[in-house]
Amino acid sequence: MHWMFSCKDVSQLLSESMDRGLPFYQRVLMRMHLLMCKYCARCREQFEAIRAASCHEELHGKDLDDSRGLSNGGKERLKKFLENDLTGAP
Amino acid sequence: MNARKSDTANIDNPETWVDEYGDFLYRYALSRIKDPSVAEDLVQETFLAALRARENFKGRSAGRTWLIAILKHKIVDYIRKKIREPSSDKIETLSDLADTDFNDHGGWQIRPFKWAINPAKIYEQKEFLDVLYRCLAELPERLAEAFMLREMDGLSTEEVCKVLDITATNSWVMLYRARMSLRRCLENKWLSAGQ
Repeated sequence: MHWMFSCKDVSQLLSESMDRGLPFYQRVLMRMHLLMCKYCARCREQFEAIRAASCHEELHGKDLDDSRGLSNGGKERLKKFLENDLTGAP
Repeated sequence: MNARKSDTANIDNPETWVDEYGDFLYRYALSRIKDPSVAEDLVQETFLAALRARENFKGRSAGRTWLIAILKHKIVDYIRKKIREPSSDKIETLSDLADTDFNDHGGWQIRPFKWAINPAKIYEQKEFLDVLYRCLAELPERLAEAFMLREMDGLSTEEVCKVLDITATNSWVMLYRARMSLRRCLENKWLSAGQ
């Protein structure tokens, strides 16, 4: 990696900085690049938005088709299973 | 009775679990594991583990949150076992996924747009969440697994490496590819829809 980071380098470092601590010189050079490059600054904002959205509970358990729940047969099987376990039946 | 007390009361009543939490848990499992029968098995295992651990629950969190936490472990266990089997989309074949974003000099080929979104108020952006979900579904399986373990389940990168049996360097590359793919997909599908 050259001492002057390219936008591609910076996009990689932006992502890595979300998963590990970067060495001091990489942090400094990345910040300098971000001050000068509005497109990489936008990339950082986009990564942050994706992270914030991924933590959101709305996304968890949500399926494209909201009607996709357990089938009636599946529910009955699970209820029977729980009932047997609670009563100690085989 | 407030919602929290009501939720705790439901947890005290295993007979109601399937009706109360079954669909939610199943959809959660299905969003990670695409196979409906496996998703159902994981819900069953979650209920079984919850039955065994019921005495320790004592209403410290909402029942749904508690069950989801158990289900997450079951999903991670399942992925860990499955990952021992050969996978079709190895990291090598994913290597060029993000390269189309940049020119030969490492500059942006397609410049990122300004997103009119406030991460702190993401819950107000229902359409953004919907599109992100669709984009996640389009990611190659291994990338999606790495991303969801890290960002949705909150595992550390060390834990992600253990589950997926990959090196730290591979995990950073995979997470980078996943974020870049999601970014590009959102620009195409969410921005083009007029936000």
